[in-house]
Amino acid sequence: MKIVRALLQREITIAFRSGGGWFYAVFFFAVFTALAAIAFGPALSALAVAAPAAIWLATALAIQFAAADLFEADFSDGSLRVIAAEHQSLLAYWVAKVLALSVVSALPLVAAAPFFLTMLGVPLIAGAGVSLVLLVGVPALVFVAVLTSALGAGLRASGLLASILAAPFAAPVLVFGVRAAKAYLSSNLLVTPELLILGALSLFMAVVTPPFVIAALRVSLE
Amino acid sequence: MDQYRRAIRLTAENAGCDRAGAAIVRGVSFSLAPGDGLQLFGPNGSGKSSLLSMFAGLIRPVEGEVLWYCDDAESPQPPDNSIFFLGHEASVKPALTTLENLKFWSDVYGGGDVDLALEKLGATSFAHLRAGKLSAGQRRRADLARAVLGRREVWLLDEPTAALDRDGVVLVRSLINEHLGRGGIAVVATHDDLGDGFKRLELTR
Repeated sequence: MKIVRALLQREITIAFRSGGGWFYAVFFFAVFTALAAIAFGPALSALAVAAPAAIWLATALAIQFAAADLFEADFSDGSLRVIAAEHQSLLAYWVAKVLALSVVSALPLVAAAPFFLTMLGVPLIAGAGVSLVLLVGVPALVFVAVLTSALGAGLRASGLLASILAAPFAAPVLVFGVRAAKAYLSSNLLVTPELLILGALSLFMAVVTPPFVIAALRVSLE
Repeated sequence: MDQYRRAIRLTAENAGCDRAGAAIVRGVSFSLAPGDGLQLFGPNGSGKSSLLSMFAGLIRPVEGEVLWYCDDAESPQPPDNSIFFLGHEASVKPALTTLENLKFWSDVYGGGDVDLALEKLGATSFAHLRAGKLSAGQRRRADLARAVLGRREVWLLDEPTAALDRDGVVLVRSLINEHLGRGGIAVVATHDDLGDGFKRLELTR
């Protein structure tokens, strides 16, 4: 567990240094929602209908974007090789990377969502509820993003490949996430079957993805 | 000089590995006992780095055998926490200072005296500079300081003297000799003269 703490601390320090990436995801999120608001037009009623879909899309893309070079630096400067030679299992490394992506990129998105939702005509209080829905589904997106990023480790322009690979995995999260958010906004129901399925997707990805991440990283070192 | 806790031996029997699906190294045989060093020679692209990765347990041998003996246990994988791996890129993060980089590695290695490591490598003067601002030689010194932190019994070094000045080369040589004196083993890919007492393995393309 010491290595998890050390890795996480290092990732967070780097992210908050100059040139670090802590604001990339939120910035992307802001641009996306602002453009969505303009594209959907000024009618608030139309905006409110589209808001759940827009916010979920923004979240999924921002996380994918933030994870694009999650392993790039460790791969190219040889740190990954040193760590892999040190520990028989890369599980601790995976845990650290998931936590780092969550703390640096995903949680700020969830926290910022209510404010950006006001641009889409959703009141701040209702937006906080949508944030809770996001919180349940975002782990699934994080696990998928870490997986697709690991699959592209060491390849050039792997971000493109990663987003193609992520699409089928992100689709169910978007389907149930948008439905859960709509149910909350239209009838104030937070705990719906859709939300439970969303939570189940997050748990499922947590269990299924790590062996593939570890295998992908090992292959990248060969 | 304090000896290492474990006595580790490494043998390779007709071992070979591939790179990107193509046969690159074939028929490597040798045996290293505590205190032995092996120097790898060969032209660029002859598989020195692949061979080091194979010893580190990152690439499986496609033929032959690589066997590790730790005290009396025998295994195809290196014993836990026994490897110090130095790659051809310095494993330091440009946004962190040398000191922060080494503190991170000391956590990964489970301890080690960071100040001593900096001092031994002559890196104290730039301990508080960000690694991104260092010269290639300074970065290499910072990376080599991991050797002092880790206290690993097996050193796998890929061109350890690259980018180093003359003093640096002497320093690397003395670090390796000190390590061998403690009962460690080392495999070093370099074209520098490491002195007598090194076994030599010539790779061809």
